[in-house]
Amino acid sequence: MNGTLWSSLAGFGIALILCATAAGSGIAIAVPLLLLATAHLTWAVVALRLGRIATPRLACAVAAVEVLLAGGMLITGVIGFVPFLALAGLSWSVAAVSAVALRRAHRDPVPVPRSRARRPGVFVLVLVAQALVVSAVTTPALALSTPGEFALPHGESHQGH
Amino acid sequence: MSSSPNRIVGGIFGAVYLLVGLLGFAVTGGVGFIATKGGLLLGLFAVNPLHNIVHLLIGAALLLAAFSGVRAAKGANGTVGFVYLLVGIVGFFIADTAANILALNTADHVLHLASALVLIVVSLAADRAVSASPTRMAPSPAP
Repeated sequence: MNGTLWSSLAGFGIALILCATAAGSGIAIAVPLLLLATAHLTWAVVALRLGRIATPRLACAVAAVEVLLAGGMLITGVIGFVPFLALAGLSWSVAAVSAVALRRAHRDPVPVPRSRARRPGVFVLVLVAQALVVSAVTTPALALSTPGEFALPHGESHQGH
Repeated sequence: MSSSPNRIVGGIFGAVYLLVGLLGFAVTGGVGFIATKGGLLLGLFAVNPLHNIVHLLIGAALLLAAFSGVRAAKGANGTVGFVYLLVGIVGFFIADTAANILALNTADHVLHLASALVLIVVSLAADRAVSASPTRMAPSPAP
């Protein structure tokens, strides 16, 4: 389940970065990026509802292509180095988790029911830790995207005025 | 309560947001109700009075839902999580405009994004049995 949690959280992070990149791009780039972001969000929600990696083969392939896409966007100047690192890193992790899920599915075609650990506290801690990592990776990427750079100067203190 | 991840998360986040809402008023003296530049809470998070009130309302909603039951906590967590995700996305697009009525800054975005991720995921992934059951049920375990 930890892999599913991580890949879903990473999916949300990727979708946000793609949205921010789309917001700072022309319509020809923005539309496919927004479609990809929507697909990521949908996939993340479906995986969470199912409790397993949804369509692991497709997820692995798309995530691998996305790493190349991130490289392409870096080279063409659509995104900077930090957003590239975040996008490529999160996509790579989704590809890796999906590949592991795929491998397990091949090894155990009929999944053996495992006793579910009744430790909600541990689940919450793992979830919070993973969410913090994803937001820590995603936010600098968002801040260094075109709309994010525009956003940085706001929200200053009124103290001293 | 301790056996439902949704109630645990809702209770903790609710209490924290209530506290943050109250503390916010200590740094927003002289700040306009919907000023786009707020006071800094903990020297980091920009807030204005409206932002404080939103924190109080969200904290109260999460806390009440956590004490009400698993179904209520799950619903509240999911709803607040998606609202925060929306705020996180929209926040970048309304920067330096009059629409930034919550005085959002980058630190706010980090906090909102992390909150959104936790709340959405716990709502979707934990206590799944409660969605299938029409009646109020005993707390179910984490997946």
